[in-house]
Amino acid sequence: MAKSAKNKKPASRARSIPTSNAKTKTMTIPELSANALVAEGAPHSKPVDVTFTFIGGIGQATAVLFRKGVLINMQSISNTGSVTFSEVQSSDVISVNGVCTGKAQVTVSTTTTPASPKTFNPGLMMANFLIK
Amino acid sequence: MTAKFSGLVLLILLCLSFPATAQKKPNPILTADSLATGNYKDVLNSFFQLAFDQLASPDKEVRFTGTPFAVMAKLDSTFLLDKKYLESKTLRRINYQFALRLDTAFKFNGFSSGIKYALINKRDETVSQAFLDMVLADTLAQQLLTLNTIIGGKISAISPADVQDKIAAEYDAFVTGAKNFGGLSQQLQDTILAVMRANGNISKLAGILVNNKQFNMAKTADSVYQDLKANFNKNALLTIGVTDTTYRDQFVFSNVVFQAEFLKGVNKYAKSRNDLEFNARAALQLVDDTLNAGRDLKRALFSIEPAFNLVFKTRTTQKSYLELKFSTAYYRNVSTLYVGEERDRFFLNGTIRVRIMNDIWVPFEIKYDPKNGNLFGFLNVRANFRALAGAAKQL
Repeated sequence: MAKSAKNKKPASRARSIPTSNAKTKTMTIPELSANALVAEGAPHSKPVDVTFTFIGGIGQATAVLFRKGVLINMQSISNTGSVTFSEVQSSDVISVNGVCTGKAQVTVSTTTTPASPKTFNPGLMMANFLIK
Repeated sequence: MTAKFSGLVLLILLCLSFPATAQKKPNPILTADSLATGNYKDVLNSFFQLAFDQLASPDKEVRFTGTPFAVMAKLDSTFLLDKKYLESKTLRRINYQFALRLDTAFKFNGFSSGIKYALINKRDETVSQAFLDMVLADTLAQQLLTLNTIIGGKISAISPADVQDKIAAEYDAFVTGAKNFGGLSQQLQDTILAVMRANGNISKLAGILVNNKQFNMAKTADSVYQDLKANFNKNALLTIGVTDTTYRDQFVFSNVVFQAEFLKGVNKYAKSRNDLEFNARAALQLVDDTLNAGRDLKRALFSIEPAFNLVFKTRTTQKSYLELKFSTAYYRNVSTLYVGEERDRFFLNGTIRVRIMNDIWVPFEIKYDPKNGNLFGFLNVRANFRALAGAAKQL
């Protein structure tokens, strides 16, 4: 038993982000395989809507879908409405960036961390929604 | 009677101020005007204003100013949605007012009304695509947005899921301002710094974060936006309007005033914390000529009043708390003169405006007639309403 454990191949080694300070500890990123980013036809993937509502002013925003550190899809909007990502999986992140001159509300149509809807005051809109 | 009225005014002001102090997070839509100067709010109001004018003089006035847009949005909150909000630009450029005039005994002394339209309003950043583009083109704003996007990518690559969830929540606390940079876990701090150093566009931001553990992303983003907005609010504003007053015993105009007013910030993009505004007002006033029998509007008085308004702002919130307005006023009687009356008169005026609450201003006006050596003083109160809070919450 001990022998088999000894001979077992080590799991794929995590790659850390290079920093100028060797003592720092950063978040680990797993290695990517050929199938890791495939969402088409995956049973656990689902369409997700991101709805932007601009109140008392105008706004402009971009929603970016990331999977395992890779940009999968990016869509922009410049008035109240929705963008749809057709194949979203758990652990994906939807990054929201933009500006609103009034109040803005962003709603993601699935469970996320942080929870949506998220309300923004006039100014920059910045959030990263982790799909649960 | 005076004491009773003063008590009533005080009570109304306290009632008006209560919602503003009780709300921890005021509705952002309705605080769009909170950084505006009191002088700007007197020239063009965005929602509602209640004014108590010339409290200590024989002709007192209680005046309500509003916009048709405020009423429409109160009745139908979808007016606040961006598309309708843009379409309602004209409605928001109109101000109307109703006032009750009171005599020394606080009895009804006439009714007045008026309408004003902003011919030029380059200050309304809420509908300006140019302002939006200006914010997006700002270097620091771009760096913050880039950082947010890259961190989003990094979070998507974290495993296992529980750590990923924890980091996502922690980053959200950072981006919403709940946590300073120094309050983040060492792992997230190091990752943010690593991301910044690896990306040339945001590498300068890394230097700021290393030297300032109190760095707050939300406050930094807000200060970038507020600085740009404060400068945008110094743009030109030109209004035209007409006001009228009736007699106390008859619904006939006793006074009609046609006026134009211009307002523009002088020190745009200056590094000075305090602002200087230029304000010019021209008016033609038509009143009853008492030499003629009956009631008419045959006496005409033209006036022009150029002024500079010095605005003192707080260091951190950039809200104006004190304003000093200096102006000269020239009056010309363009109709038949009464006995002993001068055709041209010249005044030196000064107004001190003190903000006593977030939306309540107390302007004290002093007029000096250099020729005759007369000095007059008027005490006013202005309360700007944020009455659409409920409507905004319904959306």
